[in-house]
Amino acid sequence: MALLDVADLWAVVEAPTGEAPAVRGVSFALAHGRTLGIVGESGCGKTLTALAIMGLLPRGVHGRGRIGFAGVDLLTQPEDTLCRLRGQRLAMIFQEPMTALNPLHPVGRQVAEPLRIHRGMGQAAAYAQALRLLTEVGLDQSARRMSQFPHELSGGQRQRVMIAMALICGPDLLIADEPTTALDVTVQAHILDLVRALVDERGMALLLISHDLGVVAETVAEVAVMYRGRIVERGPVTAVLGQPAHPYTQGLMQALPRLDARRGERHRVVPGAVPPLGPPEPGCAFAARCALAEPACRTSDPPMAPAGPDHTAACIHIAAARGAWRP
Amino acid sequence: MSAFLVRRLLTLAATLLAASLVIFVVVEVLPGDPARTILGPEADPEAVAALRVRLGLERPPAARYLAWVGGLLGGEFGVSYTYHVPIGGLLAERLAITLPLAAVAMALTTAIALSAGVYAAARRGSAGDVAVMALTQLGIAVPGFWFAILLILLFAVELGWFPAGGFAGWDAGIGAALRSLVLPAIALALVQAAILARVTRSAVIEVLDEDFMRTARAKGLSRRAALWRHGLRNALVAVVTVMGLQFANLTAGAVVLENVFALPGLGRLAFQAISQRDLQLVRDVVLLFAVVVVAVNFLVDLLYAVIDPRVKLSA
Repeated sequence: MALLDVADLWAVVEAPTGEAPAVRGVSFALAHGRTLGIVGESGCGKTLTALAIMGLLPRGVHGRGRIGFAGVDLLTQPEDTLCRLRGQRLAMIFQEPMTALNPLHPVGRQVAEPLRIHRGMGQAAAYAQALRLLTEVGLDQSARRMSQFPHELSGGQRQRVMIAMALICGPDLLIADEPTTALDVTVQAHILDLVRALVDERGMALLLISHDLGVVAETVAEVAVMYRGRIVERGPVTAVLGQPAHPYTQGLMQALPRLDARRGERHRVVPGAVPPLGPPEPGCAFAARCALAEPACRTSDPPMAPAGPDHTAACIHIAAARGAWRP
Repeated sequence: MSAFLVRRLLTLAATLLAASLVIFVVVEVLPGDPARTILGPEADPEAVAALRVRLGLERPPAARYLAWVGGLLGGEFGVSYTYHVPIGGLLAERLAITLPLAAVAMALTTAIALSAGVYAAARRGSAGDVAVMALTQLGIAVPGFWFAILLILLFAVELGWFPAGGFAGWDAGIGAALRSLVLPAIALALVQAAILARVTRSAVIEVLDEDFMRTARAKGLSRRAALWRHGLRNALVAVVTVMGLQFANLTAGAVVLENVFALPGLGRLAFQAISQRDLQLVRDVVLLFAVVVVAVNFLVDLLYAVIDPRVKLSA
């Protein structure tokens, strides 16, 4: 049985003009110890999907559907059950390590806190374990840093602190929402290596949310591409990023800057922009920006269709798209 | 930390110096000859002139300013010519009423405002929130002296729980003395609590939307526990700032309420000294108010450093 089994998940934003679904019927499963990346542009619903799993959707956003985690549906669990799972079996690291740590508490106290909450550990024992983990995640001078405050640390150091804090109770699932986006490129690579190593070592499942195809390609085994609240393509990273079957994924891949581009060659982009959030409309979400779109695309929602081994895409033109693909 | 303290203490001294100059100038330009006011309109001009000499009013302003400030620094406050007692003792006696009054009022303000503000913020948009907001609107709109009259009618005249006015004196025992401070403190506190509750509410709401509150919840803290362990102290910076300003308002409010409740405090003394043209006393009382306000602001600055570890670096 999968550790995480998300089925037909909707996240609906309450707006003065009515309800707008930001996540529309997302389904995926993630087994123990496996890694899945969710990629997509800003506003495609990837962060809301992650927050829905944590049960931490912001005010005015409601989750519907089913989020199976270790056999229970998180969406129907009472708050105190979710509190017991969060930080203990489900952990999350956030994009902005600057603001995601409490500026008024010393680092050691923040890292030790989940142990105090979930294990009822005394301060000394919890702090000792926090120090071990901070050393393990590669925070230099970790003993001295225990009593420092977040503003005394660099962005990379703060993200190491966040990682230690998320891992201290040994969760089954780690959700990392753009964990390296706010960091310098060199620091990014270190943090990604660290996350990968820790996930391997501890046999955790990893759900990595990113807009960065490179980060996803390096870190996870499987990937799901989201567009306007839906998963439009999913499969092994090598297949999806190597031979994308959905015109949107193809557009994303072609939009990557290339070192071998000819002089004067224009940088390719996905034409158009993501339309604003609104009430759901029929048809393929990408039809308005798709070169292959035809009337049938605008009337019915394309189902996920096979595009290769374990590889599926929500497009009625997979064959045509495949034929048109040139990296 | 020591550089922080030294800088704050220097600011404090400079502020008091500026305050003493402003007070002196304002008191100088107040119309009316103190000597004539004391002796009455029918008095012999020679007696008035003699009194002016005795009060030192014939000396140039700069000399009088230096004499005043020099005297204060040397602990020499002079003698009030309306009360015929040393001003130092008079101020100490009055301060022993006004400071406890302000302290009790501030404690009440904080207790009411923090509980109402946090309650409303945690239930943003609910009926409870709307009710708290409506009550605080009422509290801000209604003047303190009117609350005072209502409180006297209910708790003093009808129920007889507290005295309607006057001060039992600290010699009568702490219980009796505090009893005479309860109603004025409530009247003072209600208005300030209404303001502070609104500040607390918005500060807490702002903190609830911070990323680190989401992190706290992601660790497994309930909404309430996250608010208490991570939210409140972060919201406190804004709240403490306003509390410092409010303490100044409380001392000003004490001038009015001490008159309503016939409490012989510093506010009443200021009021009487001004009506009697007791200029030396006016100067000293007003400067004492300034000292209280500046000292409270100094404490607030220290509190910032206690609450927020980032303050020491940026100070």
